[in-house]
Amino acid sequence: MSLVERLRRRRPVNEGAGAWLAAGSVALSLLLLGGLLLLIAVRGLGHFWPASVALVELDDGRQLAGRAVRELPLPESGGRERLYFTGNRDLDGGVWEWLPVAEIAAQRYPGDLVVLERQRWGDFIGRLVAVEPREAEETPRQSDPEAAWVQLQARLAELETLREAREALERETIRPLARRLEADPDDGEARAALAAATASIARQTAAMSKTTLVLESVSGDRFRQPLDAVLGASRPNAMSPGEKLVAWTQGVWRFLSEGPRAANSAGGVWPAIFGTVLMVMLMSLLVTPFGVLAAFYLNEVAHQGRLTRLVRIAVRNLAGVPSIVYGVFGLGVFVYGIGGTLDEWFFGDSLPSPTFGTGGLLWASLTLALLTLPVVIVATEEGLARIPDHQREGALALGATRLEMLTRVVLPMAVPAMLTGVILAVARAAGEVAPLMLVGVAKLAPQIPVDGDFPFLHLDRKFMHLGYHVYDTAFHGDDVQAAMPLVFATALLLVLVILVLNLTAIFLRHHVGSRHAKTAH
Amino acid sequence: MPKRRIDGKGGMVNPPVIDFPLEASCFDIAGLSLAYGDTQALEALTLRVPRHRVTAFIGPSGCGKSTLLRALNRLHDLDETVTQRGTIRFEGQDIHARAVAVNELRRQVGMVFQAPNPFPMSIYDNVAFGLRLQGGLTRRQRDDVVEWALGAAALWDEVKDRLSDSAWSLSGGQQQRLVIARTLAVKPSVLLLDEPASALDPISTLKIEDLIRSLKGQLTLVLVTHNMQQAARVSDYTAFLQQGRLVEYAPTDTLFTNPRLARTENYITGRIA
Amino acid sequence: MIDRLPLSLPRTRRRHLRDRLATGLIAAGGIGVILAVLAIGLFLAVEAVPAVLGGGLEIDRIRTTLTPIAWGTLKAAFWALLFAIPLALGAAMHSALFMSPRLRARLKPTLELMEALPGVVIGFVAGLVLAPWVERHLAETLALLLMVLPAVLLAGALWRWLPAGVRRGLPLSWAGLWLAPWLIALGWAAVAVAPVMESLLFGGDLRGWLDAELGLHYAARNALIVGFAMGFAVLPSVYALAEEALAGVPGNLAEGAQALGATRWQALWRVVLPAALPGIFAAVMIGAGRAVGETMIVLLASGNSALMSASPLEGMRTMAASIAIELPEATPGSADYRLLLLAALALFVFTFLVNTLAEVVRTRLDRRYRRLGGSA
Repeated sequence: MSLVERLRRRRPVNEGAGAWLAAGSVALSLLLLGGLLLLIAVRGLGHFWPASVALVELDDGRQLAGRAVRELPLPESGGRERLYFTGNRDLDGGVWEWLPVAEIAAQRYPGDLVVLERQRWGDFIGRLVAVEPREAEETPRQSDPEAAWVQLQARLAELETLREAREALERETIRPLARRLEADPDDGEARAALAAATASIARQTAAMSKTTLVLESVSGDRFRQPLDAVLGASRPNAMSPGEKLVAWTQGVWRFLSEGPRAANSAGGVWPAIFGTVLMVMLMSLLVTPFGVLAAFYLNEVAHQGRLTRLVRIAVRNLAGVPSIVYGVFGLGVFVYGIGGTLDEWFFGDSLPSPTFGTGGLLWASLTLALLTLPVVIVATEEGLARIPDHQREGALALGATRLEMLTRVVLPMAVPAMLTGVILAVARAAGEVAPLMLVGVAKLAPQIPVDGDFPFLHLDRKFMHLGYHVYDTAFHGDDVQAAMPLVFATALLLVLVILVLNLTAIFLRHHVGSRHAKTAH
Repeated sequence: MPKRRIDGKGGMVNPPVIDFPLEASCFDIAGLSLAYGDTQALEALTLRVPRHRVTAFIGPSGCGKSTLLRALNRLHDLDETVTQRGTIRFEGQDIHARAVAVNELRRQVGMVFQAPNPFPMSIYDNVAFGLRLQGGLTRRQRDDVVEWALGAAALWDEVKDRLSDSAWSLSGGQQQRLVIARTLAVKPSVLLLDEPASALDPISTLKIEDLIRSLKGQLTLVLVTHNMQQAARVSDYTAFLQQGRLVEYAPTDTLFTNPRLARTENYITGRIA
Repeated sequence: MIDRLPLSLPRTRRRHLRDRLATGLIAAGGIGVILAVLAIGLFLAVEAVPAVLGGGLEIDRIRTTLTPIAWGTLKAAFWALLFAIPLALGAAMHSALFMSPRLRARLKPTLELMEALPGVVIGFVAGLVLAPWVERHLAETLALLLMVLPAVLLAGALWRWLPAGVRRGLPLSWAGLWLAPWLIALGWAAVAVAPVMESLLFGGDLRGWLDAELGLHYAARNALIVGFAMGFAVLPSVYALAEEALAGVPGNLAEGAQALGATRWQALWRVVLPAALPGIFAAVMIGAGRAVGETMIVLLASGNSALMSASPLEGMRTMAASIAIELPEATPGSADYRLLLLAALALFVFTFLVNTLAEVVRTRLDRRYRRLGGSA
């Protein structure tokens, strides 16, 4: 007794190196995970912050304006060099500039530097000289930059209203009329209305293109920029932190709500969000009933013999088969097999260009449904196995048939487990990219798969996907460096969606566990 | 009276089993053998269960008393490993006949289990569960039956103000009475009780026993219990089973005060477990 | 009195019929779904095997095409497992035997979340952020790698000399958390001294030194980067299964050893680990299955050059990546198409076998624990 006591008290026991290495691996794993999430979060969200623009003066008198991105040691001389994002692709041909730190004479942050987001050529960084009608005299007169900035703000607001009006006209008037004409080419009334609407659009477009901006880069190049190609303007150096926060929120919102521009390296990811969500929803619609059906069969109906046990193991193992293999199956069976046959039967007139015989929304959803079936089956089966047998017997003892027992007692009790399974399936499907590369994502899908044209949901169309967007932009983009922030933002969005889904599943599972603990007294 | 005779194979010759006339019996079990896979649970069991009485099955655990009970409403049907020989007649009708609908049989032969198993729904819905399966009742009639059943199970006063509460919010004893009410609601003619009080505290146990006594005028009750005092308190007849065989079956008073077989005596005096 | 009770009413018969019908439908549907899922293997076999056996594909062609990508697959999986297994098993041992229950209850879902991180995100960060950084900071990377082990051991040694009060504030059961800032601090130091080390040991240019002294060419997207990223992706699943196996070992075994005077680590090493070995084997198998089939990480971080080199500093191309890149372009029915399907079949068979093996071992283990009276 006393010996044991004394041994216990002689602290600390030397657990040896192994115990510490084991603890170290936990710490290292957590560090890696935390580091990755932090990196994605900071780079993804930081992109929308209107960072200050520096006006850099070099020793040789050259000037340039840009945002400092990072700094590296120079390989040979031992100094450091700094990378600036300078924009103005139309003037300089590139948007990046490496500058040796030693050659920088001065760096200032003047408040009048303007950053313009443009439809073509990317960002402009420089000064705004004047806002003028297009047909103005060749050499712009000197004007007050402050007044020009105020004028630009007003014009941009007008432009925004005009754009919205034009879109509304297009959506609400022109497209229905065009459909009417397609159905009945002799409809004179529709033709007249369409002509009027088109003319009105032309007028508005003309109104939009009336104004030009006179811009000047910090090195003194002056040029004219049509206002209608400008998407937004800001003077980040003159903004207060509050204004920056507002601009940041707007930036995030536009990222979520707009379509991509400039070969996916700018703009937003709305079509990709929409495509991902739509595909995942279709997939859940497919996977839920089939997965639950299979689980009910395995657990409640099938003879519980050796065969059922084997099938159960096989289904479990299919969860470990690489997703790319499911993609191959989807391509071979759904796209080429079923899709090809459908095309021959129903869409023969549009052959050889395939309708269903190529990757599309339907095939992608089906493939992912197949991929996630094991997840749903396993989760539902676990839920069913947790339901105590005496609940089933209680129902049978009251004269219920097996169907009544299953639908009225077992099914309601299994709902949380089923939900967990579906959520886990959705989380897995949302992050899968490899099979989609084979069965239906597009780098850029101009039409989202839902619109006002019959049958409204176009199962044969290709769609955009957040995960593929990350892959494609990071891997195939022209200027990866410029697209990186957006890729980070997209990756962050994807990770967030998946984390939220998983947390929901974990919460549900916890909830289920405690509820059943209460019955199993 | 000769104590007993045992033949060479260990089976009973002329077992000391009470016999009821067919007209007075509810169940007529003849030569019933039942096995789970390779494990024999019941062997060549023959007995009759009297109508509108309380019959108790007692015996050491694993003796087959619960198996016998579950055979009476064919609850074994779900278990594919069960094999069965012999016949069980319920009110003269073979319960394994093709024309018998097993769910109708189970409605008429209600069952209450060892652990209370209310469904995860409201108190009202629990009692109305069986009624809804039958169909054919108006809402009003259903309300009446629910009230009657809860009253018959001596639970109405305790729950009448919270019928829409979850059944899981009740105490263990209340849950068990709710399960009895749920069974009574479908108007069975038999109530099988599988150790209905073994998971309950003494007061709840007493309430259940009172309930059993109050029901026996209208229903045939079959009670499985490992609690001999309970069998002695509530039952009219008691059957003692051991290793899947019927050992002794007699009026409860006789069995407990003057057992004919030494094995029975050993068991009820606690000399064997 | 003894009139027969009607045990079969028309309504009852109707309910019965409905029950039969529905049960039949459930059975048919269930079997259908299961067959559809199992059809994957069948489809691949039917498409690929006859071509091989029937001479549609020349053996030489198969060899020249598949060998490099099979090599690449194994190489990537090897480095991934080399990174993931020690880390995952270490973490599993710590969380199963040393960690405070409160921390453990938080850690497990956290690592589950890690498992759910999409491969494309991990691959993107590895290929476009980590790979360029490592390429520019070879010496710092080397210093970081060399630092980890001594840093942890140093922490363990220092801990014993801490005053008792401080030590109680930093118990071993929470070391998984409080070691993290320590590692960050030492990592910082390692990065700071790396240039000095580089100039002292490698003449200021580690990359040149590698090339000149060891003949190793450094490619930015190489097997080490892929292994690191894929190891990161595989780690959580290996951890989860290994932890389950270790925590499932009946407690009385370890207690018995400790009662004989063994430290917890000795009890773990001598008693618990051997008992859980099949489960750990299963965990490693599952990890191998995942590493072999992971596509996006390899695509983004490996460089995808189909060269056969054993050097960890060069890239590779894997089967999964080849399928993802080439299959959309291959004409159905062509030799290329069948070759890629053959690769898919190989992946399927390998993962299926590995998983089945793991599953069988796990079931056996469960049974063994139950016999030993464990609380598994």
